[in-house]
Formats: sequence, C-alpha cells, structure tokens
Amino acid sequence: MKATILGAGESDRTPQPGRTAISMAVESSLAAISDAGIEIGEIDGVVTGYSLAERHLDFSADLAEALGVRPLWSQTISRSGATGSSVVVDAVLAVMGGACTTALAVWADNRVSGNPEDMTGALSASLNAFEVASGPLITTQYALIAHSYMSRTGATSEDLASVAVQFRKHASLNEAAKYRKLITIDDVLSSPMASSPLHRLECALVTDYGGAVVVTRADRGRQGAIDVLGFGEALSHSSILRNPDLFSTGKTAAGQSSRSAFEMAGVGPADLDMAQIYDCFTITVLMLMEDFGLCARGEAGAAVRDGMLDREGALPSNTNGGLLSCGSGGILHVTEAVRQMRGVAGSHQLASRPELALVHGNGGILGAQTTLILGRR
Amino acid sequence: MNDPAEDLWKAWADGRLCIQNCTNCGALQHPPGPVCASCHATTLDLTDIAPTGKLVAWSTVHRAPSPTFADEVPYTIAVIALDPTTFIESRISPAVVESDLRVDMSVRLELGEIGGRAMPVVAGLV
Ligand SMILES: [Zn+2]
Repeated sequence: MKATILGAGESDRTPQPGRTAISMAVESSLAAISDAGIEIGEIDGVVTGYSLAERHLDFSADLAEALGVRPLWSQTISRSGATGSSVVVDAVLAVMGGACTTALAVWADNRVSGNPEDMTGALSASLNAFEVASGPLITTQYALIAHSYMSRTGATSEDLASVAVQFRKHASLNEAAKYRKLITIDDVLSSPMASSPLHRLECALVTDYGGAVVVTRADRGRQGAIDVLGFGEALSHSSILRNPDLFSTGKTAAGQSSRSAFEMAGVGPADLDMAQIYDCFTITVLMLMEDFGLCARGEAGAAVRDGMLDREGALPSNTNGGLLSCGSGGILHVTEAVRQMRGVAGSHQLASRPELALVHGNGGILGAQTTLILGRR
Repeated sequence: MNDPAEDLWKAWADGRLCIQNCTNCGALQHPPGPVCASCHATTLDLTDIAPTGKLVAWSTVHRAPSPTFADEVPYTIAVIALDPTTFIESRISPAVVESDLRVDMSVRLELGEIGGRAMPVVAGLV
C-alpha cells in the first residue's frame, strides 16, 4: 500500500456569471476536507491542475492562499485531460516521498462561466502547427483515429454510439449530471456530425467543474479510506502523426500505464468491480478498454452493447454519466470512484459498494495516460 | 540551429515537395523536430519525396475551428502515410469524391494552398 484517499468533494457545476475557477477549487477542497474528517490546518501539500479559462501564474499557490494554508509542497500541473488522475499520482508521490503528509489534489475550471470565447478554437490551436494547418477540430483528430479503428476492426457507428447511450443511462440516475434524458443509438447517430464519423452526442460536454481529494500517508488511513494500491503513467506522443500505433494496432500508452498500475497493485483486469474511464469521445472508451485488457482487440464495442459497463453489468463504469453526460473534468472520474467506494454517491450509488476500482485519465489526443487502482479498506 | 518547422514551411512555399529526413539513419520524420525520434541524431535535413502516399484515415469537418477556415467548410481532412511510420495530415481536394475513397488506397500528392499556406494536399487518386 502506498497512500490513501481520506475523502472526496465536488463543486456545483451550474454556470453563473462571474463564477471563478478558484471558487470551484475552494468549494470542492472544503467538501473533500469535510468528507475526510480532517481540519484545514492539517493540509501541508497542494497539487492542482491548470485552468484554460482563468489565468494563474501558479494555480496551487492561489488555492493554498484562499484556503489559508502554507504547504510544505505545492505544484500546478498540466497533463491535458489526464490531469485529473495525475494530480492524484503526484499527491501520492509527494506523501510517499516525505515531501508532505496530507495533500489536496484538485482540479477546477470555469470553462463555461469564465470563457466567452470559443473554447473549441483555443483547444484546436494547441495542436501541432502541421496538424492545425489543414483545419482540424480536436474532435477531428479523434475522428481520424476512430475511422482507422472502425476500418481495421469492423466496429460500427452503432458500437461507438452504445458508449454514449450507456453513460446517459447512468447520468439519468445522477441528480448532479448535466444531461439526464435517456437516449437511444438512433438519437446519437441522428445528432449532427461533429467530425465524421463522430457525432455531437459522442463528444464530451463542456461544463464548469471542480473536484478534490485528500491524500495522506497509508499509516494515517482509517476505516472508510480508499487506498491507492497502484498507479502508472505513460506518454507516447504529442502529435498523432508521430505515433503509428494509433493507425496500425490501435494500441495507446494506456497499455503501459495500466500494466504498471496493475502490477504495483498485484491485481488484474478480471479482479476489478468498477471502472471510471476517461470518455472525452466514445472511441476513447473502446480503445482504452482494449488497452486495459478488459476485452480483445476490436471487441470493446460488442462488450459495451452486451452491457459490460452497465451499473448492473460485469464492470460498472462511469457511474455518474462521465464526461459524455455528467460534466467536464477528469477529476470527476476520481471523485466519483471514491464516492462510490465510500458508499456516499447518493441517488446513483451502486447496489454493492465496489472494493477494487480502476480510474483512468487520458490526455491530448490519446497521448498522455494515467491509471490508478483504488482499493476499499 | 534553424527551426526545422520554419525550414519545411519555407521549402513547401518555394514549391519543393519534401519532408524532414535524418542523415544518420535515413528515417523520415513528420512533424519535423530538432532530434530524430528513431536514432536521436540531430543531423536532420529535408529530402524530396515521391508525389504519392497511402490513405490511412479521413474525417469531414462541418464547423471550422477558426475563422481562417470558415469559408471552406465542409472539408475533408486525411492522414496520409508516406511510408509505414511517417504520416502527414492534410486536405483531400474537393474534386475527389468521398465515396471513391478507400483505406490504404494510393493517392496523388501535390503542393496546394490551405488557409493561405502552401502544403502537400491529396489532389487525386492514383
Ligand atoms: Zn535518425
């Protein structure tokens, strides 16, 4: 055992004029500290993600000051979508390495309230200049990989759409999810094409968000704590053009990150009883499932259609509705896992509290991968 | 050290159909960079390429990411393989009918202008 998570918190995600990223970081931090049953003054480490909508020289410094703490260790990290899982890895490394004892790992952004400009354009401009030149959306980069996956494996648009349908079903039970109305495969396939073959309902939502967990040394854990049994990170590329695997085998660095995490935890994919998988697009989930070893190459679509990821299936996944139906921010995959394992997920609590879970963050265009294996004490 | 990206943009603008190559191991590399990802040598240059490639994947964009491309939607973007490990991303000419496209088919490249910039585009099928 490496380190343990004492509690988790989320901010409200309803957009409001003037709503700041820092205010949602504070709100989620205070909720996590309260859930952990500790005092603010016990926090001596702070790691935060970046904000796209709000400028901070060092987000972690502004959060620490807002909370009135002077940590021994603090940092702001940027690992694109994988940031939500990677703030937890970094907090674990900090407490394991003795840099601090009890760290907040937080990610918040006011992507709706704070950003009148078109976020899509800003994100697209962050691609490599030789990609940007022909005019792709971020969605286009995933769509190119999706097209390759489909032509190689025979997976259909219906297979991909089934991911969005599944997670919407989960969102329908979650009072805090943005979209709760049930949808069908036909609804997904008749939504406007974003960048073929990906439809609008196959793309992550853009919402405000804030999420936080309290990480401490394993020996300070207690009943109800969620142990970080394993973790792994890997990075294969920044530009998709530099990673031929994406267009040949369809393998991503999530194979490596999950292998590292499983080995450290001493468990395998068959031992899991819940997963929270970064679902920026439907295709992302299918490819990651295969990288984790949950099913054979090219068979993830069939597995989803057969109900593998359903809350009553073999591996309940994205139980809050995920990025596709609940809200933005990979940190929500972490907070949702902790809340389900602690049995405090409310209206969408699983019937039996999961004991062993995988949480996975994906960043860039399937480039940066972070896997956590969490176990209930 | 020259900026390898600027060197390639300039060569394309000058009408030269070329790509970065490593003079140590011979690998082609795109997007260009200061170090060869195959052998880690820094001896990189530009080399002329045959005006053909293989179609790997494509996607049609219906809403432009920026005002630069707003007048051009819808347009089709493709990944084209110059060799098994070297890929470029570019446009498929509107003259090419999308229903004629097949994965792995050979395509003809020529320098064209996209968003005001010279770059290799898929001009037709081979
Ligand atoms: Zn070389």
